[in-house]
Amino acid sequence: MEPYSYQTIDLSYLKELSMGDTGYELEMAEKFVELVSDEMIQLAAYLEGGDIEALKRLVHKMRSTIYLMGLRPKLIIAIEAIEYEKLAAEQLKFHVDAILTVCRKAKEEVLLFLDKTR
Amino acid sequence: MLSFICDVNLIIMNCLIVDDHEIARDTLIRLLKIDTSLKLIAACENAAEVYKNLAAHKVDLLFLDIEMPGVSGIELVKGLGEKRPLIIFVTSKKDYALEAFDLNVVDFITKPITPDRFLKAVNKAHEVYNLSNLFMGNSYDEFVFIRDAGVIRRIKMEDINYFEAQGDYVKIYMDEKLHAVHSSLKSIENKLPVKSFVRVHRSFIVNIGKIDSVEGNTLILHKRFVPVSDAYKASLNKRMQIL
Repeated sequence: MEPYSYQTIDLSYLKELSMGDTGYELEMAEKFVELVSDEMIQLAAYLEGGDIEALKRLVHKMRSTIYLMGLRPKLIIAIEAIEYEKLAAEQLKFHVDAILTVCRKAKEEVLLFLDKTR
Repeated sequence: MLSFICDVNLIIMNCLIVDDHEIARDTLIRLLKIDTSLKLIAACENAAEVYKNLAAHKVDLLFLDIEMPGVSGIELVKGLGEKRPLIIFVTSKKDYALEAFDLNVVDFITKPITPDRFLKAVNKAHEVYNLSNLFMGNSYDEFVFIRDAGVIRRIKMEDINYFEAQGDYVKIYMDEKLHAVHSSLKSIENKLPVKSFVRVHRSFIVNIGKIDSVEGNTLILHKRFVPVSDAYKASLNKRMQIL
């Protein structure tokens, strides 16, 4: 059977870490779903409240969550723009939305992965 | 007859993981399991937990995130002083590389950390750790063992001209060679034969038998100049037995 092909997540890094240990993959996938859900809520709240410094810190912190599911290539431009550039409100919203969109899709796919693997 | 057995791969290093993100900590915990010579003492979320663990355990190696709320990884290292464990910085940004290496850390790795890159950093840590232990563990009057480019070498005490402290390392000057060991000058001083070596400065210990001449507050040893500070001048004069 061909491995399921995901559109957003890339499981290579998780597989490299797990070295075939499915239990570990499930544990980390569950953790991803839990953490990314909280982080998305926080991210939207910081944007809404205009707390830019907290937003930047959160985006930096989210790198670990994002990298776990191989989302770096899709999000590195948005992450670095938020962390390093002085963005106008509209640009900031654009990049935060990009992160939220990718993370939302990634969460759905990780849930699917959990479903298929359990 | 001296004998020395060293299987560098069997030396266990006690480790602390420090990162404010749960997934980052879990990833490092996973990577630590690849190398059986690494023993996890604790995975810490912040500097306070690090201090607590350092006070309670012998820790040899820290895997340390840089950007953390409160005390950053760099501030934490600066505050640990001379007797700190070896440090491997683990961060998402390359921005801090220069500042980090100025702190004489073993390595600086960026996330996401692959098992290969992790092992490379750990091997570097082993080399520094073994080298330091080799030097510290042998209080012989005649020889000392050091690791030089992956090879353990025996050097004769009588061939050493002087030691110079530089950051977390001590440089060993010989006539034609120079070695560096990860240690403090104080620790090395405690292991040296007192009849041959004398502290002449906060950063220098010299082999008395290698002093060619003294000019004021400067010693000349094999065409190199070593400063003598006032604090150590009297004890040096006493040891030199000037006729």
